[in-house]
Amino acid sequence: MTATLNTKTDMSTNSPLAESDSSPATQKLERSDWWLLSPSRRAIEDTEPVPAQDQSAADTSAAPALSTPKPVKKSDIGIRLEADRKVLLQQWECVVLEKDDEVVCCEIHDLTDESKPSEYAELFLRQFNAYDRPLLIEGAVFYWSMGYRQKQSGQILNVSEFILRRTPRLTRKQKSEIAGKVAKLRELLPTV
Amino acid sequence: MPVSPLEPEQNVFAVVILGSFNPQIFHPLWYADNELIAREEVNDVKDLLCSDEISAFVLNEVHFQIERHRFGLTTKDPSRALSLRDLVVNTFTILEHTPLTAIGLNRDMRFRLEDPDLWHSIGHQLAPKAKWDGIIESPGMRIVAMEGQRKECNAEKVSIRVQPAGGVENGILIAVNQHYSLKNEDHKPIAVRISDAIQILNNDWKAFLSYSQNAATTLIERCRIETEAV
Repeated sequence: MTATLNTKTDMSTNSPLAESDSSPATQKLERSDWWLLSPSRRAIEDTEPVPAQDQSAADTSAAPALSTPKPVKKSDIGIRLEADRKVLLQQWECVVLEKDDEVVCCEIHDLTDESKPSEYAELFLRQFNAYDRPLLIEGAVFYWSMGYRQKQSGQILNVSEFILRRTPRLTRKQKSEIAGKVAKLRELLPTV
Repeated sequence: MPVSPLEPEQNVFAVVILGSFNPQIFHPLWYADNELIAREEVNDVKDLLCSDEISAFVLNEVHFQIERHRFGLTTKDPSRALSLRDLVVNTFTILEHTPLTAIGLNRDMRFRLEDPDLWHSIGHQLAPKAKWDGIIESPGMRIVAMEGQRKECNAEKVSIRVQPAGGVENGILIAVNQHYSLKNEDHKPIAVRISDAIQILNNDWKAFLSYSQNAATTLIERCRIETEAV
């Protein structure tokens, strides 16, 4: 018999789903079940811009002394399964070929059944998030998902959404590495 | 739109990475500054908690939870499974000097079984009760976890956990974890470990999603066949 998993160990890479914890509810509380968090200056309210007259408050030296740590129960943080659920019926990976003022032309690859051949689609630009539109240039990739959301009441909401695949900006070092590789490849090509 | 009886009613997808992290880095503004999310989306962040010990928030149905030794992104939205993978890849493409030690691909599936006999039968078949005679009355399976390897997969181990699903009549939860160790005896450099983790995500995530669902449905199907044969 192999050893069973200890779902509470910190050294496992198991999913943090709260429901997966099988500890009995009457188990005694331990120090390790809690976080005692120091107040952070980058908390929710701090995502708001600091008013001009309060700029000094953003300076580290001007930070107020830390107050009592805030206790947070670890089991209160995490994802939980609820009665509402989302069902994915179809998903494509789409590569932008071209875009005009109204339409995005793309090549679409079926992710639900990858044996299917690629297809082409024209999608209205207005159906994309406003902040994603400038990024829809040739070669950009997005996921197109169709499905439905079923609420606890039984109500069905049909869903079709586009999720743009964002990639990190290249660093100067990465750009120079790519330029170096291009130069080497160019040397291999015969000159006309 | 009927869902097949062997389709999971709900899914949870998660990538968990172990290593040394500075939780305060993982703030929605950091993701926006690095263009991994749109700056406009920062306003949609929910349940933000950011301190020295933990950073946690929910954005676009993805739950971010980063502690000093654990980085985890989780979603229960199946349409976000691939973009979750992309977010992890992009994060560590930028944080290229983070010492990682292990990575785990996870999928938890909740099935609702129409037949209560099948629900009981799964417990009886996975954890036979005879051995418990005289020790406890009315023994019931609380959790069964199995660990092993997958064919043609570089993962160090695959663990599958089966347990009753809370709050669902005749529901079972099947959780699959595919674990890779990134730090071996050769003292791999940090850059190699990062590149290995990215390669695992790019090459194995999609295959893992199919494998995990197959594993769960095969297990239920085998129990069903045996139940019907009795």
